[in-house]
Amino acid sequence: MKHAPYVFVGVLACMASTFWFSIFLPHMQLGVQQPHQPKMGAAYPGKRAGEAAQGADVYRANGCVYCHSQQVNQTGVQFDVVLKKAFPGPAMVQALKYANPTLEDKAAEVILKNLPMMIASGVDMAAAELIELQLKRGDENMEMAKIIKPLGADIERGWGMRRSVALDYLYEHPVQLGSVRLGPDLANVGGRLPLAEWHLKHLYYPAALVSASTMPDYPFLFETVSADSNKADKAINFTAGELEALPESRRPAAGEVVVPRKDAETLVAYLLSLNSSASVPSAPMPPLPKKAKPAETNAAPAVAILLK
Amino acid sequence: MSSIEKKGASASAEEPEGTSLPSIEEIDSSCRTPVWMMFTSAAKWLVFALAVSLLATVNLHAEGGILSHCPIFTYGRLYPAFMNSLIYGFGVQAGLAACLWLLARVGKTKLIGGGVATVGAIFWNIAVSFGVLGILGGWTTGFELLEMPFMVSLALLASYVAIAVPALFTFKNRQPGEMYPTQYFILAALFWFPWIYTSSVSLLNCVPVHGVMQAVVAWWYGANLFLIFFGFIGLGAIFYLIPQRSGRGLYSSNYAVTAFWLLLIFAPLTGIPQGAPVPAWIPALSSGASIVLFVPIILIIMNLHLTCKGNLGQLRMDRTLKAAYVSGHLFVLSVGCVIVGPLLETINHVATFFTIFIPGNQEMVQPMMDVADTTRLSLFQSGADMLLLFGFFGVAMFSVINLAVPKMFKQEWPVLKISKHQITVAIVGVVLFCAPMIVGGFLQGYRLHDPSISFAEISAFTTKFIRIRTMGELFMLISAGMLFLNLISMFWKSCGSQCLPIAKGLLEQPTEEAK
Repeated sequence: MKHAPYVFVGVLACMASTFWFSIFLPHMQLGVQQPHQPKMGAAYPGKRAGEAAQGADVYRANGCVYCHSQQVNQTGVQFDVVLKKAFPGPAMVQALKYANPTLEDKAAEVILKNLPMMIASGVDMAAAELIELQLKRGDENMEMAKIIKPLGADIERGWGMRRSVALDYLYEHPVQLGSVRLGPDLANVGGRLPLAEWHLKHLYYPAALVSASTMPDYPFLFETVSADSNKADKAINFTAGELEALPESRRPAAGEVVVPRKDAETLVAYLLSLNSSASVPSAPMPPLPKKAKPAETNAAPAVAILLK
Repeated sequence: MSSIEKKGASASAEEPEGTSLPSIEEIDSSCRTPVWMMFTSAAKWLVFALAVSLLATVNLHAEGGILSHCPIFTYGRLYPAFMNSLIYGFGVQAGLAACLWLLARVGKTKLIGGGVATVGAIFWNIAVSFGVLGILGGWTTGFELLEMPFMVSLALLASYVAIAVPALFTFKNRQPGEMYPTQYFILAALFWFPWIYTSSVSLLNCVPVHGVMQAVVAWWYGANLFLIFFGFIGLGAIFYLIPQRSGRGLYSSNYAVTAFWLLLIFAPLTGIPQGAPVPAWIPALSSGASIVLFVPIILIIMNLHLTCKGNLGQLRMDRTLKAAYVSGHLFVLSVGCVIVGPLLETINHVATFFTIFIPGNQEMVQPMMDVADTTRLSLFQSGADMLLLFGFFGVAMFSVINLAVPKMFKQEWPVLKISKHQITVAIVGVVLFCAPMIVGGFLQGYRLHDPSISFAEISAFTTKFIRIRTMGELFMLISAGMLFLNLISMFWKSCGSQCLPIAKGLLEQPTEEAK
């Protein structure tokens, strides 16, 4: 290390190497990502517009990201095997018994009469494929489905239906992944808590809705106006119990109502737009119940668990 | 081997004929204005940052926020203001000041362009003030560690150049010969910061990259800023202070060179957390690179130990030496926090591989915990960051200040008692801050992975550790306040003994002449 120019060139080479590996190569892969277009329905993710886009600015400016992450993790996947159609012969009964040795003949016949039926739940990939093989032996033309079930604490807490993937953030700027969970994850908050009124009340005084909440309240996003002013039609309707839970200083006086300011409304619109309940190729998830997505025709049949 | 051995045999051979080396007193006083100014402003920012942090944490666990009517006093705005004033106000500024002094000292040359550096530092402080105000006002960019508004980033870069260019000229004017570790560590850090700062600011704000790539850029910036910029300046200071105070040469400059290149190649690749929503090879590369960091930190700690070996009596006596020694260990600890997860995972994989030869023993390795996954999204990360930034880097800077400032002003600290205890208080603060964050983060992560524990329960549990952290912040704040007071009083005392007589003389002279 005698000649400073050599050291300088070495440092430059290291800079180039880290830029190549940490920025350029990931960018070659992530920079060309396109939204996922399913066979039916809208492309995912959609661009945020209007109030939700303004709300993203409120979220950023108030540093919500320092307590709330926006990323769901999963530790693995399991499969449910659903038999949709099969010839109810003795060979199929044998195949069902082969797939599950504890099954009795009569139960197997009942299953075959009431198709479609779930015949195995919570098995891993290898077991699901083995079952498929056995069922094919029973009836070459049978129809079955393997329904994927993501696993993990986040999924079980109901924070999301699948893990977050790069595609979820395609149109975000800034991407608010977060680094610490002092509050719950918000990646799918619009999907799991879809009521705007709930969010408004929660922002006004979180402990009124979730008694153990450690979230601070945001009174500056709201104003108190008299009940007969023209703003009052947006007033938040607190129930008696919620009013009880409000502290004296936050409770509107008689003849007055609490009205959200513009920032609160846009923030809630943004929160409702955080919805990652769409299946993408890199992170498949079980189909949603029919109510939520009427477009999907080949959704899973009604779940009936006969076997464990 | 090392050019630091003062009046050593090697020095005489390198001495150029005709020119006489400036004395150490001359070198120190040439640094006085910019370095004192930057250290004092850094201490001021440290006080500000920790006061803000204290306010933020109290806000987090106090019942019924009194200040919640004002958006500026919410946690979401106070926390980034704290981090940014800590990093840019204290960290980068104190680091640059230390660079100026160390390059002059090690290169045995007077500081060149001190005036330019002073002007740069003034603008740097103005820019940081605007940046912090911008964050408090809600004009944050939303990227962690890079929250300052875009316009402020430009001003920061310009001021950085004004401070770094004199440092480079000073480096260029060094005594010829083998470079000392401090010199190349600082040289790399000085070039590294503008590179990472420009590229991440432009990739995030000017031509924003798509989607989650923004998070990758921000993580990359964070890892580079902490491990390369702060890491290298701190290490440079330690590699100077320890041999200088213990009176012996560095044990091995080969160890230092190896650690330097390994850190420079592999540390910048780290920073992408396991399980992040990016293609799997990116975090895998990152954790692979962080395992390699095990080698340089072993080399560094061996080098420090072997330099001080058999000299523990002096280690106990000398404040600066002791602080530098502690700081070196804190570096190893904080880098250890980065590599512990990937390292354990690798051991797990290797162990699993070998158990295939022992039938029925597969279960043996199963319970081993996935540390990287457990500590993710918990308090752990900010505890580890603080350990590096305030623990390692901060204490290294305090020891530089402790040694350099009295030398520059040619007098002892005015309030000796304060300077004696300042670093001790800081270390107590670091322990009280980082221990609950690291332990609590670990436990919090463990609970987050157990869906049978409700989230409300976890929040209540985490709040306990945040309460303990408040104590640490208080100690750190006291230590920062002590440092600031000391630096200010040093200036006043020096004014009293040096400036005032001169000023008096200037005032009296014309009257005498008039007579």
